[in-house]
Amino acid sequence: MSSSPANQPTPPLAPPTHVGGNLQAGIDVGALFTKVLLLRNGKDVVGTDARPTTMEPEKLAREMVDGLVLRLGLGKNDLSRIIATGQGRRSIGFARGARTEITAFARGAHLLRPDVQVVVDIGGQGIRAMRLGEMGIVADFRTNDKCSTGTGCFLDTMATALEVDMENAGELSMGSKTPETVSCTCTVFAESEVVSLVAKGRDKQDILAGLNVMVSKKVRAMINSMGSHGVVMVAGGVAQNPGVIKSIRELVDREIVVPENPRFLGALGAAAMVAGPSTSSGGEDAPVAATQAENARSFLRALFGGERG
Amino acid sequence: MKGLKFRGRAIRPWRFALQIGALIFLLGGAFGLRSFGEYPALRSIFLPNASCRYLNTAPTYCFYYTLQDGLTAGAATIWVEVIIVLLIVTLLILLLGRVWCSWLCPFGLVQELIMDLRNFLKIPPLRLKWSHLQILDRVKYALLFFTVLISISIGISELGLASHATSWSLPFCQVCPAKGFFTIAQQVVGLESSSTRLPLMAWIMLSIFLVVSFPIKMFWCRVCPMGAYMSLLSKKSYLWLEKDPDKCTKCRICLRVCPVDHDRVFEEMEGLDVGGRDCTLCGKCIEMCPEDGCLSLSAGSRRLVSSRKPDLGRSDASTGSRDRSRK
Amino acid sequence: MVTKTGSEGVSVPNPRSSRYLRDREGYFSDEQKERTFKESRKQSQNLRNRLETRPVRARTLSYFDDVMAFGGVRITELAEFRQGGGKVVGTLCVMVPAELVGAAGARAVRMCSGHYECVHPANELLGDAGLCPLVKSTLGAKMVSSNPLMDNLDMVVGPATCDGKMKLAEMLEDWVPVVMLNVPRVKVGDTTSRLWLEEMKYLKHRLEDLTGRPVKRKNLAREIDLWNRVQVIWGQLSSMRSGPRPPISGQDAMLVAQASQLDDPHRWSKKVGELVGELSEMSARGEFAGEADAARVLLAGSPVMFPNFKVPSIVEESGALIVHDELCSGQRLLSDPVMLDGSSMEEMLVALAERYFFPCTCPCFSPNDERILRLKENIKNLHVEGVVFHTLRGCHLNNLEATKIELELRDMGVPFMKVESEYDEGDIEQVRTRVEAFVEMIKARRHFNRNSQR
Repeated sequence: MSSSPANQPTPPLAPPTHVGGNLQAGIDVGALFTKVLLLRNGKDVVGTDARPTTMEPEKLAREMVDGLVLRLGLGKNDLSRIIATGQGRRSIGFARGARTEITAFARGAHLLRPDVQVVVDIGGQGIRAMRLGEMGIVADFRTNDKCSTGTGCFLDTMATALEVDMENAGELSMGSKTPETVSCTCTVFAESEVVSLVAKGRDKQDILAGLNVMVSKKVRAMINSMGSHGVVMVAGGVAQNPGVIKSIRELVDREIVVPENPRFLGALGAAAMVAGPSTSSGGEDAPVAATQAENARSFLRALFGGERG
Repeated sequence: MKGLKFRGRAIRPWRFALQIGALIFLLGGAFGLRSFGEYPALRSIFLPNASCRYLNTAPTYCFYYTLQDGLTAGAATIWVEVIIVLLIVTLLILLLGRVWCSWLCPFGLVQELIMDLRNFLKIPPLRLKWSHLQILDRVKYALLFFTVLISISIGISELGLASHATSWSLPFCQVCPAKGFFTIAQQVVGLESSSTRLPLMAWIMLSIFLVVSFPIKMFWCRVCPMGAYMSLLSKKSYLWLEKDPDKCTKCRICLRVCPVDHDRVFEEMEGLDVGGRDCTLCGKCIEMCPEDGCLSLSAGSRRLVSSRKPDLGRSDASTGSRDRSRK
Repeated sequence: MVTKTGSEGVSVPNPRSSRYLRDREGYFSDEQKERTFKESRKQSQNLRNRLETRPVRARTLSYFDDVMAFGGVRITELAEFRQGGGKVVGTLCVMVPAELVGAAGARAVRMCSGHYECVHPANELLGDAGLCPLVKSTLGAKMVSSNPLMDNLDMVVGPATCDGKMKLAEMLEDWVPVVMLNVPRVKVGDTTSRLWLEEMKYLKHRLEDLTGRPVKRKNLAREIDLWNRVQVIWGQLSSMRSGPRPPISGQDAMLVAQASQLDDPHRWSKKVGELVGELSEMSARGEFAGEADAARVLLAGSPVMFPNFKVPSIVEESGALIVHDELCSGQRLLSDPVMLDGSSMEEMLVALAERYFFPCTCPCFSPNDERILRLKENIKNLHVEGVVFHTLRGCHLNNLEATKIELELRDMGVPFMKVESEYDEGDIEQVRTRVEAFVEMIKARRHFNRNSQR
C-alpha cells in the first residue's frame, strides 16, 4: 500500500462559517482508505478526514468522527445522524444506517451538480458507473465484475513496479508526450509487462501515461454502457490523479466534471442522505445497521467457520 | 378413467344437451317422435340445418337443399326461393359464425358420439400430417363449387341437362350421408316403406361418413359444403372466440384438443380473434386451456365463458388417491 | 454403446465400460473424497441454518429441510427402495416427465448439483474452461462419490438441451446407464411435436427395460392425475408467496419446489397442504417474511439448485423479498398441467410430451418469446418491483437472452439487474453490494413514484 499523509485530516471542502447545530456524518469505509465527512444542515461541509483502513474499521471510524467533532469544538450530541458506506459499511455498528457506495456517490454528485447524468467512481478495488434519473435517483449502474483494471489497486501495483510514489505518479505522467501502449489488461500480467518495458529502457513517464490510457479506456467503456449523453462526474480516490483525469478528458467526448477532493464524494453522499425528506434512500430509515452487521458477521462465520468476521 | 375430468371448465355438457334437444325437436320425426314439422306455427323458424328433405315429416329443409333446388329450377324462381333463404342464413352465420356445426348439427352430434366410442375403446385418433390436413380442408370448397356449378348448369334450360339426370337435380343430396341416415332410420321405425331402395351412392357415402369419422376427428366437418359456405362468411362474427395473448403460455393444448385442428387459436399472438373460418365454436379449447381468462367465447365485447385454471375443487389439499406404500 | 433402433428393440449400454474418462480411477485421493463429502454436507447445513434463523418462518418448513438434507432420511428411503428391487432414475432437466418414470414403477429424482466443493474434482480432470459450474459440480460429485443421492441412481435421463448438459450426460455414462433424448430446439409446431413424441416413446421403452414393468395406461393416467394435483397444491402455495405480504420467503418456496423432485409426491402434497394452512394463519396474524418495506423482486435466469442459494440469500438479506421466480429449479417445475383429452396410450403420451415441451421457456429453445410474455405478465400481476437475473458463468443461453429481456423490461420501466456468478463464495461481497444498490434504487423509485403521485 502506498503512503499518504496519514493521521492528518485533509482540508475541508468549504471554510466553516458558523459551526454548530445540525450535523450529519458520512463514513466511507473503502478497501484502501476510510473517509469521514461532516455535513451541516445538509449542505455545508465542515470537516473531512481520510486514513488508511485498518483491520478494526469501527474503532478507526469512531476515532475519526470523534476527532472531527472535537476539532469543531462540538460534542457527540450535535451529531444527528451517521450513515456508513463503502465496502466495510456493515461493520460500523454505531452508524444509523448503511448504504452502498453506488447510492452514496450518486447522492453526493447530485448535491454538488444537479445536472450530472453519469457518475463514475474509480475506487481502490472497484470502478462503478451510475446513471442518474429524476431527482438524482440511481436509474442504472454497472460495476467492474471480475477485473481490477483501472482501480486504485491496479495503479498502486504498477507504481510499485515502477518504483514511483503514487502521489507523484500523476504529475509525472502529465509530462509524457508519447504514451507507451500497455496491452495486458490483467493486473498481474500488466505488471510483468511494465517491468519488461522498464528493462527495455522505456521512459517511466510514458509508461505511466500508457497506464492512464488503460484506465480511461475502461472508464470510457463504463460511461458508454450507461447510455446517456449528459454531464459526467468522475470521482473516487483515483480521480485525484491528474494524469488519469487528463487522459479521460482526452478520450471521452463529454463534459467531465471532477469535484475538489473527489475521494470524499461517497462520504458526502452518505452524510447528505440523512438530511431532508427526499433522500435517495427513500422513506424512513429504519435502524438497520445493527441487524445488518449481525447478519454479515453470522453469514461470514457460517461460511468460513470464524476465520473472518 | 382417472384424470380425464381434470379441466377448468365444462362446456360439453351444455352443448350435448342442446345437440340432443335439436335432434329430438328438429329431426325427431326420423325416429317417430313429434318434431317441429308437426306444429305449423313453428314452421317459419328457419335455421341453417333445420331439417332434411329425406325426413317425411319435415316441412322445411336444410338451406343447402333449398340452394340446389332453387338453382336447378332456373332463373324464374331464383329470387323467391334461393335469395331470401340465403339472406336469412347468411345473416345468422354472420351473427353467430359456425356455431351451428357444433351446437346444433346432427352430423356434429353423430361424429362426437363416434369419437366418444373410439375413446371408450381406447383407440387413439389418426394424426394426419399438416400438409394432408390442409388438403382435406380444401375439399369442402371444391364440393361447394361443383354443387353450385352443377345446379346452375341444370337450371339453365338451354343446356338441356335436366332431362338427362333427373336424380342429379339435387347433386349434393345424392352424396349427403343424411339421405341414407334418415331413410334407414325411418324404415326402422316404420315411417318409411322398406321397399324404398337406397341407391348405392347413398350407402357408400353413409358408410364413408360413419367409418372415416372413427379415426379422423370431425371428418365430415372438414368436407361439408354447408360448412364451406359458413367458413366463407365467418371471418368475423358477433359470437367469436377471443384470446388474450398476454396470458398465453403457448402450451399447445388448445390445438391438440381442437376437433378440427384450427391452428389459429395456438399461433395467433397479435390479435384477439382466433376463431373464424373453420372454428365451430365448440368450446373444447376453452375447457382445456389451463390459464385464467386466456380463451373465451365472447359475444361482441362481453365474455360469456372463459378458460380457468383447473382446480381440485375441494378445501383439503390431499392427493385424493390411495397410495399403497409407494415411495 | 447406445444404439437406438426405433421403438422396438433397444439395447442397453454396458455401464462399466469407462469410455470417456479412462484414467480417472485412482485419480482422486480418499482424503479428497472425504473433504468433498464433508464440505458438501457443511454447505447444506449452513444453508439450513441461514434459513432457520430468519425471524419469520413456518414450522412446517422443517419437514422440507429434512427432505433436502444432505444424506438425510430421504436418501435412506431411496436406498431401501433400491434394495427392495426398485429403480431410481436421475433426471438432468425439467423436461423429463416424472409421470412416465412413475408409471414404469421407478422413482425420478432431479440430480442437478448445487454443491460448491464438487467443482474441484471436475476442474482437475477437465480444466477450468469456463464451463457451467452446475455441470462441473454434478460431474465432480459423481467422480468422487461424494453425494449419497448420486450413488443411488440406476439410470440417468439427460435431454440434450444445452451443450453443457449434453456432454455431462455423455460423461456420466461411465458410471450409470444414460438415456439421452433429442430435444428439438427450434420450436416450430407440428414437426417438433412429432419428434419429441418419438423421443418420449423411446424413453418409455428404456424405462420399461429398466424396471421390467410395462407402462400401463391406468398407471400412467394415475401418475398424470397425481402430478396435476401436486401442481394445484403448489398453486395454492404459490399464490401465498406472491401475495401482497407473503408469510414465506422466496428461498423457502424454492426449497419446497425442489423438494417435490426428491420426495414422495403424496407425502409432499400433504405436507404442502399443512404448510399452506399454517401460512394462512400466519398471514391472518399479519406475519411478513420480509423486512418492513422489502422490495418485491422476481428472480430469473439459470437454475439455482439446492444448496447453491447464494444469490437468493443475498437478495433476501438485502432488504428484498423474492415473490416469484422464473427458474427451472423453482416455479417452472410445477406450473403447467397435463390436460388429458383421450384415454388411449397414444393420446396420453402426446399430452405428456407436449406439456413437457411447448410451455417450457428454457432459453435452449428458439423462438422463446413466451418467456418474455410470461415474465411481463407475472411482473404486472404480482406487482414486482425489480428483476434480478442470475446467470451461471458459461451459461451462454441465459447470458445471451439476458440482453433481450433487459431491453424489453426497460421499455416496461422495470428495474433489471444481471448477476453472473460461479460456485464459489469469493464474490459474495461484490454481489451483495450490487444487490443492495439495486434494492436501494428500487426503494428510491418507490418513494419518488409515491411523491410524484401526490
